[in-house]
Formats: sequence, C-alpha cells, structure tokens
Amino acid sequence: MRVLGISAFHRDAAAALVVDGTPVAAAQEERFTKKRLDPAFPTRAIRYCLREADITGPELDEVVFYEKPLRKFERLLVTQLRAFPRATKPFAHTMFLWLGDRLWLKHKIAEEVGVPIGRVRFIEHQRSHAASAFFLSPFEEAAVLTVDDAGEWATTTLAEGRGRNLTVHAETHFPHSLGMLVATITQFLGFEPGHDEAKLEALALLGAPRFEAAFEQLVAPDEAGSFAIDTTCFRFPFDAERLWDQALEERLGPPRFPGARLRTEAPDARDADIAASLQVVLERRVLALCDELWRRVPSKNLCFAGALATNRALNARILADGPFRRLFVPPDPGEAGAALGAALALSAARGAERAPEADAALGEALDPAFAEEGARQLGNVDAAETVLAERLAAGACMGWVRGRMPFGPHSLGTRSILADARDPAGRGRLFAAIQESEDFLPCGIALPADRAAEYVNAPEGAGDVLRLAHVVVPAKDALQRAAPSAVLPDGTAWVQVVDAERDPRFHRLLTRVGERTGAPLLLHASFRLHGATLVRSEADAVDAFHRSRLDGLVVEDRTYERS
Amino acid sequence: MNTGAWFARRRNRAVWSDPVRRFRTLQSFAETEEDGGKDLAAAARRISDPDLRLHIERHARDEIRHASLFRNRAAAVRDEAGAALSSSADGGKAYDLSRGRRGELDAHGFYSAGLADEMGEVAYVCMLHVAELCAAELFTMHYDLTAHDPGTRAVFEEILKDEKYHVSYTGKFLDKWRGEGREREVREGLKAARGSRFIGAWQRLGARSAASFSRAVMRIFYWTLLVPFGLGARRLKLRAGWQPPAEPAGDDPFDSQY
Repeated sequence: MRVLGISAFHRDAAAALVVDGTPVAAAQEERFTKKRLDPAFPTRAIRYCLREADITGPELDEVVFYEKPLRKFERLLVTQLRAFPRATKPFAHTMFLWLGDRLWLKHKIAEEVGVPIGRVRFIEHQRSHAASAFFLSPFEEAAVLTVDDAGEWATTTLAEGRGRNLTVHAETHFPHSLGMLVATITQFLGFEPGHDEAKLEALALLGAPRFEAAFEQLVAPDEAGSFAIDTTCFRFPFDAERLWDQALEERLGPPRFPGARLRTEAPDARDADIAASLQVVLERRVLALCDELWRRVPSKNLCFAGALATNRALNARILADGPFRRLFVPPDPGEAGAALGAALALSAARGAERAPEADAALGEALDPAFAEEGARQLGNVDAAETVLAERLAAGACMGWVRGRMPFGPHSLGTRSILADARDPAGRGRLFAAIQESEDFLPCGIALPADRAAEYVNAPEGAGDVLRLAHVVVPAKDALQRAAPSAVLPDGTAWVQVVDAERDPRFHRLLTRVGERTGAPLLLHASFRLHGATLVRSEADAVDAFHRSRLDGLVVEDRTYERS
Repeated sequence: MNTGAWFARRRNRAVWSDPVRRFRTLQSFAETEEDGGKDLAAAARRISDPDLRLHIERHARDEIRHASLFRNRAAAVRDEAGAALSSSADGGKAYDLSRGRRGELDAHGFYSAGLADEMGEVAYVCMLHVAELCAAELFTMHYDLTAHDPGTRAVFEEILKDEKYHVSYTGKFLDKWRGEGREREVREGLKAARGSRFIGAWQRLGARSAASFSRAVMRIFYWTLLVPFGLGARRLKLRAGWQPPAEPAGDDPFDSQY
C-alpha cells in the first residue's frame, strides 16, 4: 500500500512516501526551492518521492494532507471575527489566501499529484505530529505528547500509542498555545518567528530568569497540568504578522528591533533574561503536561513531537525530571515531519505493519557518477575519509557530503561542516567559515557511542534523542578539556552520539580523528550558508564551498580544494 | 520627469527621511549586494573567456565591498537612531527599498547561480549590463535624496564609481562581440534582458493590484456583512484547559476535511 503524506501552507512544506508502513522517501520543499522553510505546496518534494519509489501519481493508493482545512478555516474565521474590528487587515489577508486556493485543497492535491479526488484524505494536525513520533519510535506502546503552535483548534495533545493504534485522550485549544508563546517571544526579541526559536534557546544560556514572574502570569497553570495564555498581551489569536500587543511591552519592557544589538550583558541583559525566563517557565509547563500525561497513560516511554520538541534543553529536562524513563523525538518533530506522520497514521489505520526504527536519511541520494569540475577522485570512500580525518586533525574546517539527504532540521553528518574539537576557537572558526555571524550560537559535538561515557553524562533512556541530536547533556571535565568551544555556559553540550552500526562511516571518521588527535570528537554544524538552506546535491555543495571559507570539501569518494 | 519616476522619488524620499526605514533599507541593500557578489563569484568560475572572468571576479569583490559599506553605514544609523529603533511601533514598518516583497523576485536581484551556464556568456553579460545601468540610475537617485545624511551619501558616492566601471566593462564586452559579428546575439540578449525586467515589473504590478482589490473587498465585507457574526463570535468563550478530541464527521475519519 502506497500512501503519500503532504504538509504545506504553514512553514516547511514537505512530502513523504510510505510503502506498506515503511517510510521510503521524504523531503522538505525548501531543499529544492532554496527558500528557507518554504511553505508552498511541495510539488518538487512530491515529484522526488514518486521518483524515488519509481511510481507515478495514479499508482498511489491514497494521499493524505496533514490537517483538516475546513476546521482550520473555522478557527481563523472565528478568532478574527471575535477580534472585530482589530482584525480588519489580517481578515482581508486570510480570506484572500483561503478563498484563493486553500479552501479547494482537495482538488488542488488531486490535480497536482495526479490521483482521483476520491483518494485524497485528511488527518488532524496534532494527530499527524503524534503519529510522526510514535510510529517512528522503537516503542510498542508509549505515551505521546505534542506541544505545538497551532493547527486546527488543538495546540497540545495527550495521546497513547499502542501497536497500530493511536488514541488522543485530551487536547488544549487555540489560543492557549505554548508554541505560539515561543513564536511571539521570538518575534519580540527581533528574530523571525517559526525560524529562529533555537536562537532563543541559545540566548537563554546567557541570561538570568528575572522575568520569570511575568511569564508565570502570561502562561498561568490551569487545571490538571494544563495552562492558560493571558491573551490580553498578544495579537497572535487573530494576527499572524504582528504577534504581540502593547500590553506585553508593559510586562517585558521594550522589544528588540530586528538587526539591533542583542542585549545580553550587564547592565542591560534584557534579551537574554527574557529568553532565560521563557525557558524556565516553558520547562515547568511542559513537565506539568508530562505529569498529567503519565497519570492518564502510565507508560515508561514518551514520544514527543510538535514545535517545542526541537528544544534540546526542554528535552533534557523531560528526561531528567519527568515521569517517563525513555524519550523519543522523531528526526523532524516539526511541520515537515507531520507529512510523514500523516502518511504513517493512515497506513497504520489501513492495517499496515509498523516500520522498523526511524532513519532520517530519507532524502535524495547523491549521484556517484557525476562529479563537479575540480574534483580529485580518490577511488573509494575509505580513502576519502582518511584524507578528511588527516585534514581535520591538521586544523582544517571541512565540508562533508555523503549519502541521502537527511529529513529534518539536523544534518546528522550527511551534509555537515566539521572541525577539530581541540581548538578553543573552533566554534567561531566553523561558523565564520559559513558566514554565520551570531556569536552566541552553540555548535554541535559528535562523538562515538562507545566512547560517550568518557565525555558526557548521558541520561538513561536518551539513546534515540542523542543519536538524532535532540538533547543537551552535561559535559564531563574530559569534554571541557578536549572540546572547550563545544561546552555551553551552563556546562552542557549539544551532542550527537554516533552509533557504529547505524552510521558506520561517521563512526569510522570519528575513530580516525581520535587516533590522530587523542580524542574522537568533532565540532559539527549543518552545511548551509548564512540564511540559505542545507546543501542538497554535489553541485550545491561545491557552489557553497566556493562561497564559504571552508578549507576543503569531501563528497563521497572525491575531494575539492581551493584553487 | 515621468509619473513613475515622480512616485519613485516620493517613496524613496519618505524612506530616506525615516531613520528606521533608512536602517532597514541599508541593511537589506547589504544583503542584496552580498548575495549578488556571491552569485557573481560563482558565475565567474563558469566563464570561459579569461579576460571576462577577471572582470566578473572584480565585480564580485566590488559587490561584497558594497555590502560591507552598507552594513557599516546601517550600524552607524542604528547607533544614531538609538532608542527610536527599539520602539514597538517601528517594528510594524514593513518595507524597505531593496527587496521585493515576500514571495516575489528580488527587486534589485538579477543574478542567480548557474545562470551563466543556462544563458550563455553573451546573454549573461547583456543581463548584467542592463541591470547595472538600472542600478546606477537607482543609486544616483538615492545619492540625490540623501543630501541630509552625509554618511549615507558618501556610501552611494563610493558605490556609484564602481557602478560606472560595471556598466563600462560590460558595455565594452558587448561592443567587442558586436565587432566579432555577433551583433544579432547581443541585440537579442539586450532585448531579452530589458524585456524580462519589464515583464517582471508588469507581473508584480498585476499581482499587487489584484491582491489590493481583493483585500479591499474583504475589508468591506468585514465591516458590513460580517459585523453581526463578529458580535456573535465575541460571545464564544475560547476555554483553556483540557478538551475532548474533536470527532471527525462521516464513516471514515480520514475522509472529511472538517
């Protein structure tokens, strides 16, 4: 049975193909259009998925869209009418979009994909997220939590997964949304909501939670672990452009203008303090959600998805202080991942067996036969990796591109930039090489699973989230000494643990680097230039390499150097 | 002065006289120039004529330098504007002079990686030539309109010198090709470059007019037909706390769009 899942029109549109319950291909539209988190209908990603399975649109059994459009339209209409007359402009904008094409989505999907209209299906937004977490997890049964910005009405759900069944027990409704709160504060601090939430998490490390009391009021605890947003401070219930109201400035002070200097140091560390306060209260609210979920679904396992599941510090807190023993976050817990979740949920409902555990490498593969101009062929990947290890050990910043494109926000070593971890200025050099100018951003550190215990205090039950780089862990002294620039101000690190069985090539590279430097550690970040999308093809990678300040590039079994 | 130019000057004057828009415009000019520089550097690697490649490489360096001039000036404007930039009211001022609106082609952007391959060298240089002529004209207007801001004016003055060089070297190559009997190729390339800019502008105008009209109609609806519904909707309480999950309509829960 072939099911195509589609997500679109919010952010990070994507398509995913599931055959007999197993994900075969998945891709984000941005990888093809080069528009970061492109929300447009994912025509190119769909084409790729069909090509990967060597089928055409009419050969699909069903196509499923990741939300219920009419219920979402109802939510928009009600919230904008309620806000009369303040929502005049947003209402005109919303109606322009929806009456233009979104209300006729069923026909659009049938036409674009080439399937009969009777094969087009719809699933609730939060159920898509929940399915992306549960059906990709290694658990046969689990409690499932989604904490998101908004879909139809639901913003947070408590659910239970068991075998092929996914049951939603309860949900909170818009505008009571933790995801929208984070998006609003992202905009308040001069970043782009929906894009830059990870920057807030990094910024939080530099501040003190002196606005904690204000946030406690902005998002107050409600019955049974739930929460209530103080809507008087926000415009997001009816306006997608400007998310906060003047009243928020009375609580948090003046906002930061985009591009203005970040206030992170005394005497005015307001921006960092706001981020830190948000993080503290967010963790508290999500832990309360976990407690309530555990009360309803007393499992050892938690699957977590939605906009907030990308927050590494939050995931660490859930593991450390939550009632569950094991945590799973899918490769893409956000909007793109929901396309895969929708397809998995429909497949499971139609009786397909569950797939083995998740692998993020679901995107387009490189074409080994086609090298760009200037390539030096080394004959095999082993030789190329030896060269890569030597260059890294000698202090070079290198690009490394191999295998299939990853699905999700992290490149996981398949489209990465790497540097020797010993250099105290390594993080800065790595980011400078790709023109990243925000100096407070942390970079990841990759280490082999069999040596992880030497460097970090990995919590029990974190295996999958560590492999998929979704969690921060406390660094040991050995990591502080061996990779000083990877350790964050609070003594944690953004870690990716590399398993020899699941990713033998990355593991081998780390081992070789360790043989040369004494520590099998590499600083790594996604191979994307500032403001651009992750490199996709070899041509993309070579182009980005020449624009960057990287010292060299290794693509499969060949290398590229600066002329 | 034609009507279009008159409107452009009015709009530009409004932007340059406002510190917030000035800051944002300079910042986005910096981004546009940097992108242009990177694309030119990528294009230069694809150019077979060594002499032309050298010129395009220098052009790329110029664009990157312009980016840093704009960025530095933006930082200075930010510091001069001080508190004005942190007021929430300013955050709502959405437009600047450099970028196309969201979802449109970049208003200044004319380069794209790989374009030199797709178009061929003659058509590519034709496109550069036309774009640089337009940019020189635009920057001259910005220079005229920034007399009250000597720092910004000095940036445009510096950049205009380079623009002259860019127009001149692209023009010389076009003359050279004309002399080599490729007159027709050059003529068609220039025509296509001017045509694509005109068509792009026409499409933008069409799309914006249609969108503006539709939005105006929707606003009228909102203030007339929908007022009773708005008053009714206000009575609805959007409750916090746990709610039961919605039951989809119909036999197959995946069938319904609601």
